[in-house]
Amino acid sequence: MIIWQESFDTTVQKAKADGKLIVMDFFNPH
Amino acid sequence: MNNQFIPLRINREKQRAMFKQYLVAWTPTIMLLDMDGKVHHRFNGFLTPPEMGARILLDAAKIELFLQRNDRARRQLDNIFTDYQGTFAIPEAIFYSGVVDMELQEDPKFLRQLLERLRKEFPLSEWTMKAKPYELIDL
Repeated sequence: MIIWQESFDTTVQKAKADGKLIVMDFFNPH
Repeated sequence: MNNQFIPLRINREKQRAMFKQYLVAWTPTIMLLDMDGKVHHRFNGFLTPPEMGARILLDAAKIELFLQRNDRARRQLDNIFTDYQGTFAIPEAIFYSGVVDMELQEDPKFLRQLLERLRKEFPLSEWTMKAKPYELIDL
């Protein structure tokens, strides 16, 4: 199961800490 | 996904400012960013899970190449060839595979080799066209 982040700033902090790239998915819930 | 990437979802209903900031007109739109939050690649539309997986790995490999983390780029491309044969990403993955090998081993023959492989396996691909100048390189 994918664990999605919802905050851009938190995501960048995690990416920097882990040296990982980011996959950002813009979606429409409807 | 979580092993290799930090996945982030932007909800159109809750985060409209982000849609405007990143010039997103339609969903789904997927972007690949580096660890500083800079966008390198984006694509639109619904893909099957294998096509999505291959596309994400390919764009990730290109970011790793840009960051000069060539061993990581090599691994991402190898994963595409292992797990996503038959997807639309394969010709471009062959192209960048040769580019990464050239960077790793500093030998231009890898560019000529990628062209020969593309001509054999994907003669009509745009990536075969894009690699045509490499025919000037001696094997």
